[in-house]
Amino acid sequence: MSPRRWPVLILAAACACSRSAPELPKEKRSAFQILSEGLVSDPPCSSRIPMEWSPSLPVPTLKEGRLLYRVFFRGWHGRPDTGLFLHDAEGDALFSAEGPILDCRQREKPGRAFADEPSTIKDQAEYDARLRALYLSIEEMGRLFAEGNALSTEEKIKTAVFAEEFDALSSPGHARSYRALSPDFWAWVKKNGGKVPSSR
Amino acid sequence: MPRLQTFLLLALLLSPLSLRSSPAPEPKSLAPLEPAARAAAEADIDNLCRSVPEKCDEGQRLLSDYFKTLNAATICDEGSCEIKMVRLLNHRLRDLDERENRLPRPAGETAARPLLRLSVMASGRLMRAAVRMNSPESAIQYSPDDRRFAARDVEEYCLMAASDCTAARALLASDDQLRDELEICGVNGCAFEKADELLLRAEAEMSGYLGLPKIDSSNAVGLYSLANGTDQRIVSLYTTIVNRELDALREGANGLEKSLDHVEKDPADPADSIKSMGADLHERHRRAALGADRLAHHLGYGGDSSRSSHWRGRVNAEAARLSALRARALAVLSARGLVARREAENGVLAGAPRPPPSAAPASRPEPSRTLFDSRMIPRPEASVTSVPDILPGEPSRLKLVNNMLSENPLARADALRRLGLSKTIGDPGRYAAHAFTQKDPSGCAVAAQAQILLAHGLVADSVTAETLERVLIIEAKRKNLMITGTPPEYSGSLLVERGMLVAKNRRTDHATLEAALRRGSVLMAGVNARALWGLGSGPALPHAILLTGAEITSSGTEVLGVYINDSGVSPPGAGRFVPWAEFLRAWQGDFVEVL
Repeated sequence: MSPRRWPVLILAAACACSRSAPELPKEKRSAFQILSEGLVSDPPCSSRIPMEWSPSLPVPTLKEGRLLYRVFFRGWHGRPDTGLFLHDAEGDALFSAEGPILDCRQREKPGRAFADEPSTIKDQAEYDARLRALYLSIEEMGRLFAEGNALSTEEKIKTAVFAEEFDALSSPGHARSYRALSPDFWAWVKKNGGKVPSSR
Repeated sequence: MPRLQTFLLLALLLSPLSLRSSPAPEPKSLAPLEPAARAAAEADIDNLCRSVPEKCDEGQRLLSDYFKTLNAATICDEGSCEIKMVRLLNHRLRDLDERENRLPRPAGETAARPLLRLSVMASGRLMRAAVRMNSPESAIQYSPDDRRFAARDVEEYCLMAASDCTAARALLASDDQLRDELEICGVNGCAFEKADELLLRAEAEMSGYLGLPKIDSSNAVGLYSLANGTDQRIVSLYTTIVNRELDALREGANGLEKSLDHVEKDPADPADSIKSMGADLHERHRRAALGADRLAHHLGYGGDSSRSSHWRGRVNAEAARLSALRARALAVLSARGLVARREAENGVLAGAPRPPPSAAPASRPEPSRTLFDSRMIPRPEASVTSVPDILPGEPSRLKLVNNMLSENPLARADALRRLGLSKTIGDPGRYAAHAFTQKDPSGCAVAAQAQILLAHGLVADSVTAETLERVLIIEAKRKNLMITGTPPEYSGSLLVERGMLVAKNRRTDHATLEAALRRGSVLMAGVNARALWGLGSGPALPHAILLTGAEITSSGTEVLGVYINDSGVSPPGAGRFVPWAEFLRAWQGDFVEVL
């Protein structure tokens, strides 16, 4: 390298090294989303569910009039070069939005495996943003479902939008497991103009 | 109900005319099974008469009284008695069960108890009657912790299905044995290993209970209460023992610290006291760490995280302290010439020669024990192998200058490193030589630990990575450190079992992770493989990888990225460089640090 280039190099190095650290992913998830996505790390799930399984999206359910949420857990196997396979529901948890996990267990039989279908949303940032919005929406739907009142037109529109978004962000292979988590909730969604998760 | 009916019912109950095999008046739920249950009870008493003739009369009277009570309960169930009759019959059933409990059992404690099945049928009918009369409390007979209640649950399972009957009976027998052994432990004191065995058996008992189908009458509350009561007693014992082990670990570390203080001040001290403490401290750490994680896992069944994180926090603190003391001990011993200087610098106490500087050492020396962990090499030797490239090729200087200012984090990190403007922390080169692709779909955490063991020279040369993965999975399952996959509490526990010092961090922040990387430690981290592998968006794919090092700017102000070993891909991600922000997007908040 020519000696005349050294000052340029030094200047560039100074610029490169003095650059501030890259912006770290900011925590924008709601408390409900953090709780739901971290269920495997919290007792009693931490004792019953392997760390290689992930929780599904939560679905509202009513138990003795109390609003709770259900998720199922799914494992996976495979590699990028040979194909990835998601498992159907292999465990379940019941929890409240305030935190306590009321029940968590593995199912007796392993879930059926099916080929992974990545979401049609290609952009990760868009996916993450829509997922955050969906979690907020799940909480709102839970509240409306628990209140049991007739929905206004605006609320019905919100319900339909929620259901569309849930369908878009949940993997199609898990549709049946999602429906089975809380049949009453999906019946309520359907009654109010929303679609239930479908296998597409 | 008219007094006359009550009188008739009482008369029926007390009448000697109540026949041994009077037919069931109205089949309800268990009623179809009643003829068989009655026949089995008769056969049981016949057997008693043959085996213990002096108890024959007592047995026959008891059988007759059960039949009468069952008949009366059936009448109540049909709606023909008052609540006080339900209470009376309940009281009577309780007495009968007490008498049944005193009968000799020629076939042993684990044999069937058909008389109790009559009791189950009768109390089911009384419960229905009491509920109909809005007085369910009138039909409750036992406190849940009464063992007789559990024995009745077993017989209820036996009425329904032979396989459930066997499982429920085994549960009862196992609980008896556990309580006996617990009693001995309480009297004579209990070693950690014995307490550990009891805790695992209590877990198995509770799993056995959860595996039974629920039964209508009592929801198997008796069996649950029995298993839960035993479990609580074992947890209480185990907690005492874990606290004892933690105290012993702290005292051991205090002792080493004092010895070090003394040896450092007195050059004439031969430092024998330091050398002799190694194995003992290693074992104390292993027991305390396993105990804390077992408690975290076990208490997790009941949803209790506060107490368990307390124990893990203590173990983490003691492990960090031991790591610091180890460094001091090495310095002292090295200064005395008791270990070779080069070995001491690399953290080796036992004097094992170093492997040649090649990516895959052809042979390793025989492992020998170190100060207070069983590793031959507490920290792998740095710079034996070259740090893996961030990007391939040999770019020109001009290209590097351009890349240095690039927005592409890979290109920028690569350029800074090639220009000597960054430094590598940790030892990614050594670990990269031991990367392999896992065979078991749930074996990522095991594969990560296998690579650490290989890099630390704790495995014989003849053992391949694939064999090691298989052997470790078998070991982990045998020790209940792995079930379907690895429970989060046991991530890194196979290393602890081999005497390595580790700190486990759950749901922590990136500053804590960064601090561990800056210490130069190798870490096992939980990530979302979908993000790590750039597979687009979709459900998370939880996965465990090794963080073998980090690249930071020379000024130390910025972490450029981490070097990882990834067993989930083929060929294995051996020393792959992942930009920091990209890694943090994939990281799920947990990591285990090898100290």
